Amino acid sequence: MSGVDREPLRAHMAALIGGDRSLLPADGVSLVDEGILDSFGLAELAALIESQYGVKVPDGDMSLGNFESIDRIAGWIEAHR
Amino acid sequence: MELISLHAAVFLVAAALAVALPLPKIARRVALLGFNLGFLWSFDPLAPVLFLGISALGLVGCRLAARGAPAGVLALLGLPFLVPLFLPKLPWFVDGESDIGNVVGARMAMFIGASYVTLRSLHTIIEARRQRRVTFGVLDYLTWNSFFPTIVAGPIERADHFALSFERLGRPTGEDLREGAVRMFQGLVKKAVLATLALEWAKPITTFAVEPQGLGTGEAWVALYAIALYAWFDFAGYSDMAIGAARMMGIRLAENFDNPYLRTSIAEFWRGWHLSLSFWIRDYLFLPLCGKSKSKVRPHVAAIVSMTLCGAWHAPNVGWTLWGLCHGAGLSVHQGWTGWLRKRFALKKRLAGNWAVRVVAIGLTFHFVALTWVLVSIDPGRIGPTVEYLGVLFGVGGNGGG
Repeated sequence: MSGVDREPLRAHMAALIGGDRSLLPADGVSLVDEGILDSFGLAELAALIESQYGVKVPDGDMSLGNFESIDRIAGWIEAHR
Repeated sequence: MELISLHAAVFLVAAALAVALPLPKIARRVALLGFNLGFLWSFDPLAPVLFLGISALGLVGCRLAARGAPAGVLALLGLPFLVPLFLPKLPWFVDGESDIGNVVGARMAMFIGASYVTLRSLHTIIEARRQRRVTFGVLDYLTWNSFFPTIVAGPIERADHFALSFERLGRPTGEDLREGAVRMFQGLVKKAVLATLALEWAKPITTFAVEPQGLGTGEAWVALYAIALYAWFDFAGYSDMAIGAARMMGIRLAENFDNPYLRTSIAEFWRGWHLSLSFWIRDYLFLPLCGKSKSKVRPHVAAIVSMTLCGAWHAPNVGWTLWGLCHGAGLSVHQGWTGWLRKRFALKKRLAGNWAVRVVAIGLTFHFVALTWVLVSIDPGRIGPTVEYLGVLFGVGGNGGG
């Protein structure tokens, strides 16, 4: 478990699905398979990561594979801090 | 230009035999590069020279990008790439614009596969710029970039994926030969039998520019379905043969098609159609154009611009450009719908699990894609016949009854 504050990530994903947090999948579940995140949402997520966590997202890392679930996003942020 | 031509078959058998010989690794690679260049030469003696020129530019670009050269320098270096990307497909450059080969964008012009070579070269420069060094040396780079089963119409095999099997290239196993042969046969059936049959049924659309009279609505719809099937069988069959041929040499290429006509949205369609091009467009055009922005509008603009460029890449004429624009607009509209539905997440989940909704979604997606084929199947250089054909489809013009 990484030490990254996941609250902003969960809040972002909850906003995408209309704000009902009870409908958010568990942190390990694929947001892509759940239909919450897709290529169109990557830019906004990268902007959030850069502004909220102060970590630059290189162009080469902009892939759904890197940010597929809350766990993976938090892991990526942790690894690039 | 076809992989099913006799001379391509001769090259394949010779290359498979050469790779199967108990040669040192380096000799096997040199032999493969020799076959690749020979394949190009067999179309045009100047082609290997042009290929080496583009590749040299690609290699220099990689080196400069890896050393952090400014974007302006790389852009300047990239300018010559526009020539093989677009020039060979301009109407005044090539005769016989309306041939059906346009449907799949596989054109032989300045030299065979020039634009695919260019896309692969650009891929390595961009990855080098992103500090993802392609591990190939010059010999392997040239072999990958000119790999003859993929040179005509892809797949646009990425260097890192190709390297997975190429770097340990040994003699093909019995399984490689068997699996490769089966895949080749499947491709041959799709391309030589199913695509040919579909093309026959599609005649009302392919000949519409010269014989527009007396076409009924029913006949027009049958031709529309036939041209959609033709495009799939022809291109997927070609990819099967390329993948099978590579496998017979012990090289595993990435898949290029995955049931594109059974997809529930246009976004899903592009996760099943010409995957290597789709991923190229996504990674090197769409996502960079999106930037890292909170703007809700920018991804929509990026999708429309990316797909319009994709269309113009197939051939810079009105038909293909509109085809790309329609697909970009389709992606944008679909994203708008998805965003709206996502905010009603419980409803979205219910709809996703409903088979009737899925069937309707598959039907709508297929018809959207099929209708866009009209733009490039009659005469991609003129919009008039396309509009007329669409009129017949929807009961305006023609003899109406079918």
